[in-house]
Parts: sequence; C-alpha cells; structure tokens
Amino acid sequence: MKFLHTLSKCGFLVAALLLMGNVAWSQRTVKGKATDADSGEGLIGATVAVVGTTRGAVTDIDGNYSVDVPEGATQLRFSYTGYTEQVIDLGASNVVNVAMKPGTVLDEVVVIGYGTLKSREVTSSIVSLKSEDFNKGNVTNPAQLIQGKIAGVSISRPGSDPNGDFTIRLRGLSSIQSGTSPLVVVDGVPGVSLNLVDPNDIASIDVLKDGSSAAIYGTRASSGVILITTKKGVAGTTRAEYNGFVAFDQVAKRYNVLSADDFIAAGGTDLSPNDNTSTDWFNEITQTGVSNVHNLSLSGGVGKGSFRASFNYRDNSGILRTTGLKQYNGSLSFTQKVLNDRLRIDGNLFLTSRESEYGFLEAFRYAIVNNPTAGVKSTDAEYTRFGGYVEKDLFDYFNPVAMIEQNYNRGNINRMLGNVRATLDLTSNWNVSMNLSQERSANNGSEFYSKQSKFRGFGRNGVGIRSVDNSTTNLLELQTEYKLNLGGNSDLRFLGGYAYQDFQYNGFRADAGNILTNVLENNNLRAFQELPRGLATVTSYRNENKLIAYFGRALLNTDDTYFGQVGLRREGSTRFGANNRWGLFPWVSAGVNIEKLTDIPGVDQLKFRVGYGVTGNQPNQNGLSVLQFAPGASFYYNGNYVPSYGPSQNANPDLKWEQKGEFDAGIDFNLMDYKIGGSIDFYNRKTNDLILNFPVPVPPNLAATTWQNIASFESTGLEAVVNFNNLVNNDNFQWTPGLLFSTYKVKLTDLGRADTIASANVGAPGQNDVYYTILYNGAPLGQLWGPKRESVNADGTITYQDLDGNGTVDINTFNADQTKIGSGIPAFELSMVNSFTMGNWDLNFLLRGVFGHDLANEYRVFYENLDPTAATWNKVDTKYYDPTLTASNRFDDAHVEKATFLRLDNATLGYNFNLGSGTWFNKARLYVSGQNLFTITGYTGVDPEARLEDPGSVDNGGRTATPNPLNIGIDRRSTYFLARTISVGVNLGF
Amino acid sequence: MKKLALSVKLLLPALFVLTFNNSCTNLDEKLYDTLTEDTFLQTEEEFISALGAAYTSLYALGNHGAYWSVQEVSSDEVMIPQRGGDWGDGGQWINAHRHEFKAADPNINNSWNFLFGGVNTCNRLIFQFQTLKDAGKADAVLADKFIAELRVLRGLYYYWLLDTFGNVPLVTDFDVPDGFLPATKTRQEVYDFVESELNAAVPLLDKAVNGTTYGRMSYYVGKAIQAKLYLNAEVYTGTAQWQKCADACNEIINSGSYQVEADYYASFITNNQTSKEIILAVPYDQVFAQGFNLAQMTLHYGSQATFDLQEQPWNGYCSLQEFYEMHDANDDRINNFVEGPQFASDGVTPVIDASVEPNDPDGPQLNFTPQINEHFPNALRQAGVRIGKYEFKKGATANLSNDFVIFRYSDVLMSRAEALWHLDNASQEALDLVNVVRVRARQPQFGALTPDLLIQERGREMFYEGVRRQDLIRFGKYGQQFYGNATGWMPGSADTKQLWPIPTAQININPNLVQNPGY
Repeated sequence: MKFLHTLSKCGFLVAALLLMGNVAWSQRTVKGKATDADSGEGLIGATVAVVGTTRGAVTDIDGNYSVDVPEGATQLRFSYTGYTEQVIDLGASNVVNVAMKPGTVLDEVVVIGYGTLKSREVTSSIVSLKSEDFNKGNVTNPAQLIQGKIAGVSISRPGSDPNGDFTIRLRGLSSIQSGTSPLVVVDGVPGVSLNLVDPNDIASIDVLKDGSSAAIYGTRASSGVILITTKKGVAGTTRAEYNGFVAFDQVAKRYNVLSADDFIAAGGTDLSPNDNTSTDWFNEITQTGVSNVHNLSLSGGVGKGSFRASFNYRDNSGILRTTGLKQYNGSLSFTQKVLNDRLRIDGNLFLTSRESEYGFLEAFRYAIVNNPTAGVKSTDAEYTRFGGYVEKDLFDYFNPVAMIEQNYNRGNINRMLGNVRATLDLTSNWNVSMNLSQERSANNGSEFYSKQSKFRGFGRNGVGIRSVDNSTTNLLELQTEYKLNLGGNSDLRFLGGYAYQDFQYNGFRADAGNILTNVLENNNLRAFQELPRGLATVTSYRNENKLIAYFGRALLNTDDTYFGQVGLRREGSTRFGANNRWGLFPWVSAGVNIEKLTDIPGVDQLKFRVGYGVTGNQPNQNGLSVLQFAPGASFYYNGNYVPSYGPSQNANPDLKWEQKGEFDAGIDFNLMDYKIGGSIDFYNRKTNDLILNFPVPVPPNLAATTWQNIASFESTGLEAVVNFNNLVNNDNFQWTPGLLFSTYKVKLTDLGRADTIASANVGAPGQNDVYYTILYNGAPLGQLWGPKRESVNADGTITYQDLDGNGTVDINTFNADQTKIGSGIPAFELSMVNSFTMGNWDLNFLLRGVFGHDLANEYRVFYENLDPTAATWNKVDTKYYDPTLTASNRFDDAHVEKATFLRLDNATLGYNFNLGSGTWFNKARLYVSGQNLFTITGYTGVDPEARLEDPGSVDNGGRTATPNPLNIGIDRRSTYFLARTISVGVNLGF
Repeated sequence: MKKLALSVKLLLPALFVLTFNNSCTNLDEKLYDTLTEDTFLQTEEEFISALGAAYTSLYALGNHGAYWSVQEVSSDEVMIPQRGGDWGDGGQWINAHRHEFKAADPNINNSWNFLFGGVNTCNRLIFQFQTLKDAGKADAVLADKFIAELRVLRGLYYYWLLDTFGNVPLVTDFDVPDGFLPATKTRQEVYDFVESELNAAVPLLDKAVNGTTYGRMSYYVGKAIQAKLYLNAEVYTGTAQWQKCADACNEIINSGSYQVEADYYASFITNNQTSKEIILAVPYDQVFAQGFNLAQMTLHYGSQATFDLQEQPWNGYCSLQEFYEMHDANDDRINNFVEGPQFASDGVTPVIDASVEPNDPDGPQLNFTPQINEHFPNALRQAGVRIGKYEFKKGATANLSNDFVIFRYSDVLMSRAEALWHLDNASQEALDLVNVVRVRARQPQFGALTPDLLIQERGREMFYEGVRRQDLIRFGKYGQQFYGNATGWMPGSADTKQLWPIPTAQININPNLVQNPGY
C-alpha cells in the first residue's frame, strides 16, 4: 500500500501530462511498401522513421506500413537489418514505396538503457544479439541463448543440472558479497529474474558491457546489464507459430571406478563375501533424460493496436534420476495507440510456474565411491531398518539409490511480471512516458526424508521440511525525451527521468523430524514429534528496501560522424548508512566514424570509441548499517532457560555504494565491402569500496564484525570479435564464420587487511583445516595453493619439497612449504561461431574453448587411492593413479590439473521446406541439434569448465553454503555431472 | 510554442514535487525482523537477556576444536589419532598431542578466540550495564550485581588464559580508542590481575547454592577459581601459595553447601543438575543450550546403533592405553571409558564395522580396545577406549543435555589435600581428604601420600575435566615422554611447550603482541 501511496503522490503529474494529449496538431498519414530491390518481395519488420521526430512505424508481413507525419517533417528514413538505410524526401504524395538493397549491417537497432540507438551511433561496448543468432537446442534458461556468443561474458554451469542456474560473469568479478551477476532488464523493467521469460519469447538480447553504457542503471550495474526484448506482435496479418522439440540427455563422461573384482583384488573390503555381488552404482542412479518442449504463439493486430500471446510448456528430465522440472509459461503483450496516435500504451504480462524436482546431487558423489561389492537392496534383517536398502554405518557413506528413491526435494516457483508503459508525444520531438510494473514471486520448497533413509532421515526418524519465500517488487519510472535537430543528420537528444523501486521479501521455513509413519510425508507437520519436543526449527523473516533515482543523458550525433554521450544518475538506497545513502554515477563516451572523414581503400567503416563510466553495487541484505541484536542460545537464569541476546553486527552509518570506475576503448570496423566486420575492446576497471562483513577488534566494537567498504579490485581485459560475412558465397552454399576472443586478469589490490588468509576448506573426511586457496593484498584472484610433491617413496609415502629451504618440511602452514600450484582463472577464452546455408539446408555450430585454467579435482583429492587402512570406499581411476602410493589422500599439486578445453557446445542442422501457395503453413522447418557433442581436454574430471565460485565443502548429509566468488578453480564433489544432449525439433508458421 | 510553455508550466512543479516530496525520496530503512539500539534493552527482561550472552559464550567448551580440546589432547589422558583417511586435519591434533604446537594451527587460534571472546563479552556488558545504570535506565542494584558477576566470569577467562597462553594483554575497558592494540603483559602481571580482581569482586557475589546461582558466577564459584589460581601459583609465578589455596578450599568445604555424592556418576548423568558435588557446570540442554557434542567426538560411526543417536558420531577422541590401565578393575571410575565389544541398543545384536581394517585383531564386531597400534597415520578405526564419563542418553541428538562440569567438589577436596601436603608432608587431614575420594570410588584407602599417588589419583578422579595438562605441569611430568612404552608417541617436550604459541593470526592483527619463548 505504501507503493500506491507513493504512486498517488508521484503520479499526478503524469495525469497532468496526459491531459495535454487533448491538444492536437495538423498532420497527414503516409503509406507505402518496403521491398527487397533484388527479389521484389515485401520486407517484414523494416523500420520507417519520420526524420527529426520520434514518430515511426514498422512494416507488416507484406512490407506495408503507415505512418503519421506531423506538419513540418520532410523526410522518411527506412532501415532494415542487412540492408542499406535510405532517407527519402517527402513530396506531396501520401504514398512512398521504397526498394531496399542488401548492404551494410550498420543500422541494426541496439537497445541501450532507457532507449535505443542505431549501431553506428554506439559509443560504448554493447553487444546486440537477435533471435536468429541465439544458440539452439535444449535451452531452458535465457543465459544459454548467448553462451559463448559474447566476448567477455562467461556463462557457465558446471554439469547439466536441469534446475541449476548459470554463473554469469561479465568481464570477471566485480563484487564479493554484493551482486556478482549482471542486472537483467526485461522490456525496460530492471531487476527481473532471468527465469521469468521463456527463451522462446525473446526477440533480442543486448548486453551493456562497459561502465559508460551501464551507468545509466547506476546501481546494480557493476556486473553489467542484460537487456531482454521480448517478441511483439505486428499489426496486419495474424500469425500463429508452433515450436517444439524433444531432447535426450545422456551422461557425457563419468569417472572410471574399480569393478567388484578389481576392488577386492586391490585390497578393498568385500561387503558380500557370500556371493559375487557387483554393482555399477553410477548406472543405478543415471538415466537418459527425456525432455519435451512446446511453444505456441499467436500475434497480430488491427488498426492501431497489436498483440502477441504465447504459451510454453517444458518437461525436462536430467541424467540423474528424479531430477527435472515442469514449467508452464504464458505471456501476453500489446501495443495500442490512441489520441490521434500521440499516446502509445504498451503492456506486458508474464506468468511462469515451475515445478522442480531438485533431487539429490550428492547421489553422484556416493555413486562414485560406493563399494561395488555391496548390493542395492537386500532382504537381510540387518537392512530392515533402512527399508531394505543396503547401508553401512560408515562415515560419509550412503547408498545413492536409497538416497534418491526414499526421499524428495521439490520446489514450486510462481513468478509474475506485469508492466504498462504509456508514452505521450507532447510535440513532434518531445515525449514523456511512464512505466509501471510489479513483479511477484513465490517459492515453495518441500523436502521429505524417510524414517528409513540413512541420508538425513534415519537418525531423526523421518524429516519433513516446508518453506515459502515471497517477494514483491514495485516500479515506477517517469521519463521525458527531447530531440533537438541541428540540421542535416545532426541532432542532440536529451533524456531525463525518475525511478522508484521497492522490494519486499518475506518467508517462512519449518524443519521437523520424528514422525510415526512415512505415509504422511511432509503434509502434516504437526505429526512430527520434534515440534512438541522443541527440537524442530522454525524460522521466518520480513524485510524491504527501496531504490530511488534521478537520471539524465545527452546524446550528440554530428552528421553521423562524431558521436558523444554524457550522463548522470543519482541514486539512493535504503541499504546504506544514514550519511551515505545517495551515490552519483556519471558517465561520458565519444566516438568518431573515420570513414566519414577520409577514404581508406577497403574500409567501409571504422569507428574509434572511448568511454568512462561509474557504476555502483549495493549489498544483498538489509539493515547492514545499524547495530543489531540477535537471539543467541538460551541461558539458565533462576531455574529457567531464558533467551540471550547479543550484538550481531556493529553500526556503520558511513556504509556506502561499492563503486566501479571503468575505462573502455574500442574499435568497430567493417572491411572489404562488409565482408569482414568486428570490434576490439580494451578495458580497465577499478572497483573500490567493496562491502565486506569484516572482522573488527572487540573492544571498542560491540560485535566482532562490521559491514564496511573495505576491499578493492582491479581488472584489465581485452576482447576481440571478427565476423566473415559470407566468407564462401556460391549460389547455393554460404558460410559465415566468426571468432570471439577475450582475456582478463583480476587482482585483489586491497583485501582490507594486512594478513594472508587461507581459504576454501578441503573438508571431511580427514582434510578439515586443509585449504585450496589463499588471499592477500595484491594477490591475483584464483590462485590454488598447496604443497608440492618431491617423490613417492618405496614405502608408499610422499616426500614433499622443502620450499622454504629450512631443512624441515611443514606442508600444513601456508607460508612454510606451500606455494602457488595453479590458477583457476582462464588465460583466455575463444569461441568460433559458424553458419552455413546450402539450399534449403542450414547448419550452425559453436566451438567454445577456455584456455589456461587449472582445476583442483576433488574426486582425486579424496578418492585417488584406496584408504590405506580399510578400503570400504571405491576410488577414481585416472591416468594419474599411482599404485605404489599408499599414504592417506591429502591435497597437493598432483591433484591440480590443466583444464584447458575445446568443446562443440552446440550444433544445429535444419531443413526449410518449400511451401507452395495454398498450403496451411507459411513456414516449416525441421532440425536436429546437439549440445556438448564433444570436448577435447586433458582434464580427468567430468567437466573442465572453469569454476568461478565455490559452494564449499560438505559431508555426511550436510548442506552447501552460499557460493564464495573469491575461491576459484575448485571442482567440488557436489557438482552435477555433464550431459550430452540431442534434440529434434520443428518450427511451424501459420 | 504556447503548448510548449503549457507543458513546461506543468512539468516544473511536477519535478519539484518529485525532488522534495518526502515519499518520493524517503530512504529511511525500516527493519521488521531484527532488534536495533532503538528497540532493544527497554525492559528488565531484555536486560537479563543481555547478560545471557556472557554465559552462552561458555557453550563452546563442550564441542570439538578449541580450548577444551587442546587442553585434553595435549595431556596423557586423551588423544585423537589419525585413523587412515580420517582425522589428519592438517596435523593440528598430532601437533597438540606431541606438544609441537604451531602458531598457525587452527585449534590454537580457535582457543584464543574463545577465551578473548569471553573476556570481551564481559567487558562489553560491564560497560553497557554501567552506562545504563549511570543514565538511570537500569535498576542500580541489579546492575551492580550483574557487573560483579561479570568481573568474576572475566576472571575465569583470564585464569584460563594465564594457564594456557600465559603472557597475554590485559583488556578491561570497553570504551577504548579506535585502533586500540593492547600490548602483551607478563604472566606475573596477568596473575596479579586475576588475584586482585577476584579479591575485589568475589565478596560481592551471592553465597546461595541453588537454582538462583546454578550455572552462574556465585561466591563459591569465585572461591573455586581462587583455589585453582593458588594451586598452580608456583607454575604461574615461581612462588607457591599453598596456604591461600588451602584457605580458599576450606571456605567451600565449610559452607556445607556441597557434598561428595555416593555415586561418582551422579555428576555426569543426563540429569546431573541435582548433584551436590557440582560447583560450576555449563547447563547444557539439547533444546535450549546446545553445544555439548562429546558423543559425536569420541564414539565410533557404528556406535550410532548402540545409543540410537540421531546423528552419526565422528570416531575421534579416545584415551591412552596406559592411562586406562592405571585404573583398578574394581575402581568405579573405570566406567569413565567405553571399552570392549559393542552391541546395538537391544544389547544383543553385535555392531558390525564395515570399515574394519584387515589387520585389526578383533575382527569386524566393533570392539574398543585399549591398545592403539600407532598415533598416525594409520591408527585402527576401532582402537582406543572412548570417553564415556558422561551418560549418552539413548536417542540423543548431537547436543547432549548433560551439564558440563567445570568445577567439582571432589577436586576442591583433593586440591586442599595437595596444598596441605605441601605445607606438611605428614598432614593427616590431607590423607583423609584424598581417602574420601578413594572410598567413594570403592578403592582401598592410602596409608600415606606421595606425589605419584596424588597425580595418579587426580588422573582417575578428574578424567576429562580439563585439568590433566596443568596437573602434569605442576607435578613436573608434562614434558616427560608419556608413559614410555611402545605406544608413547609423545617423546618429551621442552619447558617452553607448557605455554601455547600466540596465534599467527592474532599477531598479524595486533603487532603489540609478543610471541612466547620457544616458538
């Protein structure tokens, strides 16, 4: 209601502005058709703009358009992707037809923050991908659409968990405990979940990579901005489309483990001495995952309105039994012009409901190490207490089949986004607009562990968990745009705006054990005896925060030759200290098209651009700037236990925005009649005032930690893209390849403390307080740190190198005999995109390589050798296995491997049917697609993908923590395995 | 242009409203689910809850990894062998047992953080209560009572610091300047501080021994700390204080509020809060006051079936063969150890250990045997008798409800005996006091006391009560090879190893700290 209150106060001016719409001025309507000059066919979706105004139109399926031309306007500009732009002088006629010639790719529309630009006007590092550029195949998450296709954007998801989220890192790391993922903007609504929009409904994705382009989103923009534009209807003919595919996921790679016979021969404990039980545990838990995806959309419009409706259904199954999801997604968008076309109203509604079977990723780990001589189930009385599943009283040892069959871990997430935007033309070159939106999500979690499940259930006699997490986000944005014509093709465009956004969160979780019977599952929490006995855990929370911003921007275009942009966003957040709630985020950029100034043979376009921008980042939590008291354990006071409260965090009224200043210099070029095009970018970014919950001395502080602006990073990088348009171009064969290259380095310039911290605990069994990484001022991020082997001795022990040369070997102290033994950050990434057409056939594939990074292979760290005393666990069998070694497993340089890889990420072969007139369809395409078809690597783990964050160690049924982005290069045992996917699909247009 | 002017007329006031209207720009944060300075410490109930933070910091005593663990593992009564792939953990527990402490070992830093965390909480609360009292926001009588209690509790933490790290900074104020880095004080200075602080504050405490003082600092808890301080004064300062020790013990004895229970284990059962022998215990509870994890720390994975434990134990802590064999078979206190073949909770079904090593002589049935084949790296998983002093209730969670004993009456009796014996080797009272403890354990009375008899009896009586290390030091046995037979892995240590190293992590933060000699 508070939001409505604010809206009522802030929104009155909009009503006032709308009133002005009643004033009309004289105008006329120009109609016509845009055609391909070679074929004479109509061009669908070409842009028609009235020069010097904000008016425009888009051609319909037959190439027809209709545009209202105000008094005084003299020119129309026609533009279309892949065709040369044309500007036509208006005469007396109200019909203007235009034949467009294929040519430059310069005039694509690029979505920037709060507006659009033509690609030639861009002065910062922005990449725009259209739906035809997207990755195909079994795509569930929009991030997959652009994986490997944008230099400088690392999108990774180790393993193929259908419910797993992608880690998106734009130009490396930009924060530690605040947002590390880019801001997602859907149709102008910032801060939206990437999972809200179905990949089928996305028309284009634009990524604002550098500071000068992202700064207009000020806050939350430090990790870059991803702008998603959804598909819209076109007035004219009504169209229907169906897209569907079926996909098959298979295990791409597994670890070799010993068979039952080999295991016994190697000294392993035979758990079935009376028979020859031999179990392939990995086979027992994996499956061919079958997925079905259907998308049906309807679009069209009459008169001054257009709409698009879309429905998506996904049913995905992963390679691990019991993992998968079902998702229902509906979206509706409309555009309507009223008040003599002076008021345009756009609306969007997205509804998504996802039912997830998260399953238990731990099953992979225990399937690798479970004893191959143990059976899956047994009728022995010994196993009755485990429901007939063979379990042993060993530490960190579970029957993975029992784990996934006896228990469940499910979720149901409902998300809604509604938004309405009204744009009013006050004059032909001045408009105001209002954008209102609300996003809601409700995430219901549901877990149950059977009374007989050794994993989490048995000890507590059955466990039920239910949770609800709700969020609501309200947005109000007001903006005005004014365009000043400077004559010819020169103009100056101004933008001013106000943005209000509030975020409300609340949730509830209950975790209770001890139930009479499994029959009730977690449906009746009252039946769990831990509740009356006080042993259950029930928690709840509620918090809210607000962001308020003012922003302004000026864009200059001088005769399409010189371009400049300058802007400022002033933004405030409730999450900061009373003294520092507001931050300033300025930016400036400029570019020049050299080819307009001088004629260089073979150069069609050459643009230099340079920009600098400041972006901000706010912490993920509320209330960090005030002294808080939190409940601790109870204490015994006068015969009763009473609650104790102590300070949990100190006040810091100076807590302020994390700030990143980024300099970017780039070149865009097109050569040899647009045959070769590309861009090169160099950047340097300094991130200061990083917010950390940092240890402080007690006294004088009340609590041991304070949230402070304390650390800083510096990163530099280089990105290069080159595309060869129709490198081969015969009558019926075309090949367009492209290459993308990126590299970056990140240095922790200031950790905020003088000492060195060993980080990333290896974990149990036996390797607690042994660490993978190290952090200190000036450290490059991603160092793996540990002892180095000298030799393996005859008695099976290891001699380590005396690195500090003091005569004694101390492998457990970081500054004694430990050193850098690897780097988790890749040296560079290289992708190659390819597009072939041959008659009706088309073939696209993406080769993606990541080079020079190392991974600590944790399966080897723990399971390289059988336990020297009693081998109840199996071991992983890699080329590094040394049978002479009998010492206990301990992390050292032998477990760090080069993980350079080249992967055929995606390949799609399609056939477009020729459709004679009179058929029902106007488009029919059949395709087959493969993902992860092959990977070339020397890495012995299942997935050589770089690990850019670390979920930490977990054992014996524990739960992983929030991933730590400072611990890089660790291939933990909790990773889902990698799948190879083949899909077959069809696209039909009606 | 008329229209433009009209628009400007409307826009400007609109922008004005946006900029200055409160609801459009208000960024005050409202917190719904946490307490802040503005909302906390308003009532006496909340006042009491603040005091709780000082006592709940003691809850770390009963779990693995810090002060108590290092005290025990560095003595001859407890060890954590490396059992193949289990319990290597960077070598810190092997280091502790061999007295090869490293300044970077996590268990040393954890111990420092536990002890100074306790000191700081006391300092903070003394400061807060004094401030509230001065401002008239708290009941003065209650505030003074709490402040006296906190001074004694701080004295307890400093006594532990004196005992382990020895040379530490003395921080007593809270309103110190920013960047305050206290300097190391000598062990003598720390001793003097603890002595004077207890002398000043203990007389202010309540002499009642009942539920109103249970688990908290009372007059007699203060006397017990003084008794410990004086018992070890010669180690701490070079000057013995036997008479002062005997006097402090005598006050406790003469109070009549304590007695030796007929059953030794009355002080260690799940409902041990009624024991008349407990002077100070951490009042653990599986629901309200969690943190006593002994069953997890010491029992074997398979012992889950024996005690129907809700979580699988970790198979770490065990006792040493010779320490166990120091007990007569008829000694009641031999049940301080879990020994022999193990059965499921029905008492009949043997617990089978699937991870039994082929070279384990006892076969697959879980069998805790006193002999430990080696310290590291390949100790047998079933080797070593386990710590069974506290009752493990059937169906227990990882957090036991037994109260964890810090000071006990029979220790006071034996401390007075030891002090009197030092003053007069022929003291009949000293002999009688020790024999009270002997008789209760169904052991024949001693005819005369010797240092060996005293240290052995203390070992049997006080097993796993956190005093063995200081007892060995006081009797000059700490630096000697433990026992000296084939299983004696502690080869002997220099006198400097009686103190723990100042943790590297702390010296990095505070350059005014001085490392102890020998590190």
